[in-house]
Amino acid sequence: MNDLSRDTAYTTEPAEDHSLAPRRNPVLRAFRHRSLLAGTVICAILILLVAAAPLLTSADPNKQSPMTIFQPPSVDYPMGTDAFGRDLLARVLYGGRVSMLSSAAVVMIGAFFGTLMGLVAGYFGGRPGFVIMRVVDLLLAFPGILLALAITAILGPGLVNGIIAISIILIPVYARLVEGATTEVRALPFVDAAVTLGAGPWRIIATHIVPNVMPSIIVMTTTWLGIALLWITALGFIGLGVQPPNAEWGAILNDGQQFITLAWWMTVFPGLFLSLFVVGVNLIGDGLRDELDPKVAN
Amino acid sequence: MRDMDDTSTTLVQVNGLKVHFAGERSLFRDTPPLRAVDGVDLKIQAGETLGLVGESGCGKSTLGRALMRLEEPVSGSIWFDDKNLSDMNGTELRKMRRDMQMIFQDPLSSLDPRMKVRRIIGEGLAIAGVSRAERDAQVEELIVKVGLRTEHLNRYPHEFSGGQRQRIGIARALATRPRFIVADEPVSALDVSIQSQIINLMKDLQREFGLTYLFIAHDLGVVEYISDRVGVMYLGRIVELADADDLYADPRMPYTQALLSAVPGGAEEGRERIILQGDVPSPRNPPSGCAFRTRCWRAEERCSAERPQLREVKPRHWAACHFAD
Repeated sequence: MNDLSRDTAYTTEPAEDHSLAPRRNPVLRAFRHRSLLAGTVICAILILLVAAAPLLTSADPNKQSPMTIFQPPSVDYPMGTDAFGRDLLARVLYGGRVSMLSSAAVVMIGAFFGTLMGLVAGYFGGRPGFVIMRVVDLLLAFPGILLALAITAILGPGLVNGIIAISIILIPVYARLVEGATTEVRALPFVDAAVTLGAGPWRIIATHIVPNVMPSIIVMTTTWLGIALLWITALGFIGLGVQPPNAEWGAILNDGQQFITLAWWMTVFPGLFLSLFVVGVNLIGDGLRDELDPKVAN
Repeated sequence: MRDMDDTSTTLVQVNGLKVHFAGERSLFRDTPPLRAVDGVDLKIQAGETLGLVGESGCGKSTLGRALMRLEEPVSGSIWFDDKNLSDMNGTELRKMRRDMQMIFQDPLSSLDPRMKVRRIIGEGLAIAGVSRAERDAQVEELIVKVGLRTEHLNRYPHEFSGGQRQRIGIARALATRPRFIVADEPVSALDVSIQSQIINLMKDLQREFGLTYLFIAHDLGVVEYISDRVGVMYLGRIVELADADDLYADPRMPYTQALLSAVPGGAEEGRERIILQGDVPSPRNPPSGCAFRTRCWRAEERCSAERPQLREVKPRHWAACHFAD
C-alpha cells in the first residue's frame, strides 16, 4: 500500500525564493512605455498650469475692459484679449479648470453607476441582470452625442446639466465592460473558494471582483476622459454647457469662432490647450492598456 | 481509520442527489438537460477518506461541488451531521460552510491574484469576524503547518510554485477548522514529484485535525494510496463502491475492471489489459438500462432493459451490475 515513498517528506520541497530576484518598482517599470511617460508629462504640465492660474496671471477672467478689445498677444496680454477685452490667458487657465474638472466629474459619475450596474448584472445575472443589460443595450444604440444633446435639451442648458447628460452616456459603456469582466472573474475558482468560506455576495464583489476588474476600469477611464472632455467642450461650444460670461474651453472657442479672421489667438490658444490635454490623456490610456491589460497588449 | 464498522458515525449523507444543467431552449431546438449527477446515494463516515474516481465528465467534480452547495441540485438531499444542507439558505448556510471546505484542482486560479497570502489564508477567519491580531496568529500557525514559512505570507500567489500554491489552498481550507474537506483533483495539476508530498501533507493533516475527506481524482494510483474506501462513477452515478483494498483486488463491475487494467503495472499483477471501445455516451442522452452497456463486453439484452441497482455483492462491497456476483 505504501508504494508512494515517504522519504520525500513534504517539508523538504525546495521553496522557490523569489526574494532574491531583483524586484523592480512597478511605477518606474511602467514609464518604460514612452507614450505613458509623454502623456503623463503633457497632462501634468497642463494640470499644473491650470492649477497655478492665480500665480501666473493676476487678471480676472470675467472682467471686461472696453479699452483693450482684440489685443494681439503681447507682454501685457500673453494670449491677447477677446471681444470684451477680457484677458485670454486668464480665461484659458480658469476655463481649463472647468473643462478638466467637469470631464473628471463625468467619468467619475459614469464609472460609478456603470460599474455598479455591471457588477450587479455580471455577478447575479438572472432576471435583474437581463433587465439591466437590455437597458444598457438600448442606451448604447443611440449615438452618444445625440443622446447628450437630447438630455440637455430636456434638462436645459448649463454646466451641471451637461455633466449629467454626458455621464448618462458613459454609464452603459462602463456597465457593458464591467459586466463582461465580472462574468469572467466570477467563474474563477477563487470566487468558489470565497463562497465555501462563507462570504456573502457583496463581500465577494468588494474583495474579489472589484480589485480584479479595476485594471479594465482604469484603462477605460483614461480613454473616456479625453472623449468626455471633448463632449463637455462641444456642449460649451454650442452654448448648452457653461453659460456666459463664465470661461470654459468650448465656450471660449465659441467666442472666438466668429472673429477667427480678425483675432486668431482667440481660437488658437484654447484649441491648443484642449488638443494637448486630449492627446496627453489618450497617450496615458494607451500606455496603461499595455501595462494593465496584457491580453490587449499582446 | 481503516477498520471501521457500520457503527461508526456518518458525517455526510447524500440521498438521491441529482444535478442537471439546463439545456438550450430555443425556437429551433430544445437541447435536453445535462445530467451531470443523476441519482447518487452516498454515506461518508467521520474520519475516513472516500476516493471518487471516473473518467472526465462522469460528474465526480459536480458531485463534490454539489456537496459544497456550489451547484444547486434539482432533487435529492445532502445531510451533514444530521442537518439538512439542501434546505439551508443565507446566513445559516454561510455559517455551516465553515465546517466543510474545498481544495481545488488548479492551485493558481483558486487563489485571488490580487491578494497576498496572508489575506488569502485569513479570509475565512475574516468572514467569521475574527480580530486582526487573532487572525494573524492563526494564519502564521497554519502556514507552518502546511510546510511553508511565515515570510511567504507577504507574497502574491504568482510568486510560488504549483505545489506551494496548493499548500496555500490547503491552509485556507483549514483556517475555518472544517471537519469535512472535498478535495477536487487536488494533485492532478501538479508534477508527479510534488504529488506525493501534497498527498502526504493531506494525510498528516487528516490525522492532526481529525478530517474527513472526499478525494476526487482520475488517477487510480493516487486514490488507492490515500483512500479508505473508493467509489467509481460513470455517467452521473456511482457504479461501484468498496474498501480500497477490496476494490482494487476484486473489482466486480466491468467498468472498474477496465479502469484498473489501465493502471500502469496492473498487467504484471496478472490483470488483463482491457481496452474500452467507443466514447462515453452523452450525459444529455444516457443509454437506457445500464449506462455502461454501450461499451461493455458482457452486455446482454437484460442490460438495456433493466438498470442494475447498486447492491451489496459481498460485505462492504457494492456494485451496480447484473453480473457482479
